[in-house]
Amino acid sequence: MNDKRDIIVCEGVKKWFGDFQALKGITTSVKEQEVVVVIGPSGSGKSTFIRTLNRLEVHQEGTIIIDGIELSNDLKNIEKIRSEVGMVFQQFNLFPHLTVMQNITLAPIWVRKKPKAEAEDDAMKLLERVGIPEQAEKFPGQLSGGQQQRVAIARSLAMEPKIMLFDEPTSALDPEMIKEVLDVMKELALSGMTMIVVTHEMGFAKEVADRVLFFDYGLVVEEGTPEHFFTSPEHDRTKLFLSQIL
Amino acid sequence: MDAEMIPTDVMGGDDLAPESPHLPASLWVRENLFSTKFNAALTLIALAIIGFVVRNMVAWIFAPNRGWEAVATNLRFYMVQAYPASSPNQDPDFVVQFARVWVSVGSVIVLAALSLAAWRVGSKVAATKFLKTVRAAGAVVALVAFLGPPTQDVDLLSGIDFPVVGPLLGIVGSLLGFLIEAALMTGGRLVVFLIGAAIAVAGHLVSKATKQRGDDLAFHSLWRVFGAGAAALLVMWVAPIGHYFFVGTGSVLLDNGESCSGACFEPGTIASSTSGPWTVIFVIAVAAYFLARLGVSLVGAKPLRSILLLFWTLSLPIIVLFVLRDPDFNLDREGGGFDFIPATDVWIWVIFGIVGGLVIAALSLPRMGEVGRAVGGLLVVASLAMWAVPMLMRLRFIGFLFAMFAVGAQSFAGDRRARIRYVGLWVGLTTVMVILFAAINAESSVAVPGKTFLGGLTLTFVLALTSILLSFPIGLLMALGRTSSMPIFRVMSTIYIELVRGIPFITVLIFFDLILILFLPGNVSFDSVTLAIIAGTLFSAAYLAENVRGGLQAIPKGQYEAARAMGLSTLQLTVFIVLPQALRAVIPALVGQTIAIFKDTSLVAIIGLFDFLFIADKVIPAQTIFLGIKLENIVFISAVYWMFTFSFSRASLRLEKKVGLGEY
Repeated sequence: MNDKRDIIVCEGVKKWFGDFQALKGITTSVKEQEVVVVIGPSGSGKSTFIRTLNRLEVHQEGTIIIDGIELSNDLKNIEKIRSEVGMVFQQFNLFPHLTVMQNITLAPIWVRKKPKAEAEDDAMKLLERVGIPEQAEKFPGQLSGGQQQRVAIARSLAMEPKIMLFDEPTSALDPEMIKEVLDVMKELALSGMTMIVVTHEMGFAKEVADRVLFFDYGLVVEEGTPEHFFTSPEHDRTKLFLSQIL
Repeated sequence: MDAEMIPTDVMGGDDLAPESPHLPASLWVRENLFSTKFNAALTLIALAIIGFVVRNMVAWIFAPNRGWEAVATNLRFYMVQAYPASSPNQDPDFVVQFARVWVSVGSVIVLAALSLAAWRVGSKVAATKFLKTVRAAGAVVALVAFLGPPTQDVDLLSGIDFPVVGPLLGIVGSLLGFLIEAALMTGGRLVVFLIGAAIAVAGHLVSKATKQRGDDLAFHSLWRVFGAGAAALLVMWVAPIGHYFFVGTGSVLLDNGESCSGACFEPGTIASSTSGPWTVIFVIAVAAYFLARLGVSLVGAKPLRSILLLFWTLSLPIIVLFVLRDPDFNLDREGGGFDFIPATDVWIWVIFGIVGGLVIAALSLPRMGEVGRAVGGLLVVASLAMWAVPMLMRLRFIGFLFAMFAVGAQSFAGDRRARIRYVGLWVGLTTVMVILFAAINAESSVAVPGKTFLGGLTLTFVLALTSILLSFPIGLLMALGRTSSMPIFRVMSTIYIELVRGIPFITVLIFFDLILILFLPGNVSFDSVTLAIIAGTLFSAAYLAENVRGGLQAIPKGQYEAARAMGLSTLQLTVFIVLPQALRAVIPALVGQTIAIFKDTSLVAIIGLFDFLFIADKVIPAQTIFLGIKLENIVFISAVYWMFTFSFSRASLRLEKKVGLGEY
């Protein structure tokens, strides 16, 4: 793990929404193929943080460097970064008027300019990887929540990103479907993808994470390996949080 | 979770939901109309009002002194006004020129028939249900005849002067009198009643018979349409409605030996010059439908649909500019000048189509990247600058479209096939535009009196369709501009929308007619129809923009976020993600807007155009023979307007169901 370079470097990232400061200076880095799980109470800024990484939120102070490219107002940089960073949302955000296949192949065809046949072949491989190849011609409205989220993961993977961001991917799912999505994410992690996952699923964090970040009130309160984090946390705030959820 | 993992005894089978009880007619009436005393009273009052209204309407329509011949004689005038200028007696060439109208109508109907086949319109209709509808229709006809004005006078118990008892007896008396009058029907009223009753009884008996058979007899719903068409044709050939026509000069000898001039009526069937073309069109349309069905089953629907969409798009300009107008292209004359096609239009095509096509092909190459977008932006600026420099109008239009295609080249070109299609689209569009502009600028060789060859219902349709179609892209752009993040677009769009929405349409028309000339550079002048179209387009675009904006706001923010996270450009996400969802959501509002524009075309009389309403309201009541006959004409055009707008709403309901509105 030590010979992997830093693929995400954040220095003093601060963000305000009007007068309210959501991020109060985040300094952290993520190595290639590392799986980082971000946990914390709601309103702590964890979603805001990962959304700044692909410019869905704009940070006002500090620097973010992703794969050597600085995230600034330069549109070219933003485009390059977005092509390397995939995102999976809590609300799936699939395009309801397109079939599953069209959802997945839209960006490869029109952004990466892939030929349609090749894009569809790759899409089928991805659908097999997430376990639902038979749903290719269905519309998102005809699928269950777990299936929709898996399609969303396949859609992000279709752009061949180097980093995958997950914003509470299982929070909107029935308990029965959470497992199928977490299984896909585990397989993804084991295959070597760099992942940053905001979640409440502690089991997932214990099993798969290389590092756990605990956010509270816009700051990283504690970070460490899962073993360290869940068995011997240092800060009181962390201890309080863990006692409430475990 | 796979289905196999669930134990089968848990799944079981679904019980069939009990069929909703279907009440026979008498029970239904008792439960819904007479359930309580209050309901019963309301029902009786409602029935009385309906009966009163229907009776008076029927009495008015069929009164012997109604001037319906004013409508019947002027039907051709209503449809096409004074096209062509000559009349049957004067000009032997009349038939040839008027055939253009038949070709236009026929081609639209045949296109519609082909579309019905290509889009597999229609579904199975159960025979029993259909026959029940027939039964109901027959019953309604019989009922209307029953309620009709009396043919015999029966006066009972009138004029009794006792207070309180008098009026009461008077009401009872008039009710009894009414019933007796109704029972004593004679003449046409009796015929209609018997026909209606016969249809009702026949429908009832046959529906009972098919139900008892137990099979689910069903037929394709389009057979109803074909059947109705065939029945209408039969009526045209057989029914003794008579032939109304105008004699311009002199007089004509009728079949029965009388001579007639002015507005004439010949008893017998409708003229074969009307029923003949309709029969030909009907036969061709039905044949086309079945041929298309065959073709679809052999090669699939997609190629036919693409061809038909192309034809529908081109149908309006081709019919108006080529078929009806018959432009004289003057290709064989010598010399130059800006209206000489080989000198100008061919060169325009070469420069914009071929050279421009190569430029667009270059701009769409992936390695152009940012340079491609920059060049596209420069071209947009150059095309806007073209409006300040004096030059041919069509150069400005084609230049603007060229700039639009150039800007979109990077966003919409993909692999080699996509790029070839994009350039091919541009070349095709240029070819069509050059040909259309050449046709507009060429002289028409059909003689017409007055300003324009369009009038009556034709004018209404051309104005409405052109305004609606052209206002669509403008309205979309305004809606996107108003919700854009760039302040300049937002401000410009808001000013446009709020300004136009605050002015009545009639004011816009007058403004354009009188003042636009002052604003335009050079000696550009527009004829009245173009002015009306421009006014209608700009007016409708403002309302459309607001309708679409409502749809845009209904799209969840997450759609934008997902699209941006995948790297789609603003143009791409607007076209692929936002617009499909927004437009689906506002189909009802769009159809409402279409209906409104269709009716608003009646205001163009203010700038001197002979539209459908103007003919009914002013022109026909001014004809010496039909002086003052206004109400019949107004009733006629109201019925026609209603027929079209009702079809629009029904079609919109079907369209909503087809795009799955409200399903996700």
